[in-house]
Amino acid sequence: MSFILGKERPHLSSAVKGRIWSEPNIAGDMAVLLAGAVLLASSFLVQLVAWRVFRPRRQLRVLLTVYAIAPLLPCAVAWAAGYAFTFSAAEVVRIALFYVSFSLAYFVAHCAIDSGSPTLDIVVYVAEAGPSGRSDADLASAFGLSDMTNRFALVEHGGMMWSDRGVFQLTPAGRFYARLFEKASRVFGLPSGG
Amino acid sequence: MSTDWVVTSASVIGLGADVIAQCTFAHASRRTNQSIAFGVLCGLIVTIGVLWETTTLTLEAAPAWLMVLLTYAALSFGFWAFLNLNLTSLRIRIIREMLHMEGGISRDDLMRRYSPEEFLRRRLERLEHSSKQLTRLESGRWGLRSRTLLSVAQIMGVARVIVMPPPRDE
Repeated sequence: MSFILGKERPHLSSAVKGRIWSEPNIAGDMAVLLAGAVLLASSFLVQLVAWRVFRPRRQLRVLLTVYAIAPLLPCAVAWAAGYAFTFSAAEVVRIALFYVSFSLAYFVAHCAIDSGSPTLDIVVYVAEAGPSGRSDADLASAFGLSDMTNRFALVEHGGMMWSDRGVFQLTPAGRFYARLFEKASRVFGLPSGG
Repeated sequence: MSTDWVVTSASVIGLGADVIAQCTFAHASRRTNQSIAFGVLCGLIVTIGVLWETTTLTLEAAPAWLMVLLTYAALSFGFWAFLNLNLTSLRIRIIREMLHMEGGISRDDLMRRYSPEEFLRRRLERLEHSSKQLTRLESGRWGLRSRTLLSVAQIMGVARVIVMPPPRDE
C-alpha cells in the first residue's frame, strides 16, 4: 500500500523479496527521515508563533492541539506544490512514531521549561556562590514558603485538586492520576518521592 | 512480518525491552537509578540488535538507522520522565497521599505535612547522595560537585528564552 501524492514514483521495497536493502533506496529512506523532521519543525514553528500571538492559559492543551493539527500544513503545502512522494504503510507508521515520540518528549521538556524545576534552581543557586558555597540558612531562605505555595497552586490550577472552605479534595482527574502513579510505583519498584 | 515493518517496530521493541529490564532490575536490586540506566541500555541493545538482524549498517541504511535510534531515544526519554515524576515530583506525592485521606486535607495540614524544610531536605538529600551533584564543603556549606545538572539548567534557560514569549508589562 502506498500513499501517493501527485506523480507516482516506483517504490523499491515492495518489489524486493527478502532483505529490503539488497537494492539501495537512499532517497526513499532519507525522504522518510526528512518528512519526520519537517513535520516536527513545522509544528514547533507554529507553536512559537502561537505563543507570541496569544499566550494560552492551558499551555499543554493548546500544545496538544497545535501538534495534532500543524502537520497538516506541510502536507498541504507539498500537495499544492505538486511534490510527489510515496511512502509504504510501514514508512508512514515510522514517520508517525518518530513524530509522536518526539512531540511527547517535547511536551515533557516544555512543562519543565514552563513551570521550572526546584532541583535545578537549587543547583544554579549553589553554583552562583562559587567556591564559597551556600549555607543551610541561605538555602532555607531562598527555597521556602513561596516555593511550597507555588507547588500547591500548580496542583490546584492543574485541575487535580479543589478546595472548599479551606479543605482540599482530589478531583476525579486527580484520583485517576494518583491511582496511575500508585500502580506505576508498584510495577516499576519505585520508592515514594516528592 | 516484512522487513519494513520489523525496522519500523524496532524502536517499540526496544522500549518494551527497556521497560521489562527496568522492572526486573528494580525488583531484584531495589536500586532505582541503576535500574533506569540498565533499562535504557538493554533497550538500546535490543533496538540495535533488531536493526542489525534486519539490515546492515551501510551509508544507504544510515537514515533508517538514525530515525529508529532517535525514535527509541525519544521513547525511552518519555519512559524516564514518567518514572522521574514518581520519584521527584512533590505534586505527585501530594495527590498519591491524598488518595488515602478520607475527607480531604486542610491547608494548614498540607503546609505542616509538606513543609518547606521537608521539601528542601529531600531535594538536598537526592542531590548529595543519589545524583551526586552537590557536596558538603569543609566549611559545612553546600558546594557544586558536578556540572551536569548545571549544564541542563543552562540549556533549559536558553530554551525558555526561545520557546516562551517575554513577559508582558503589567
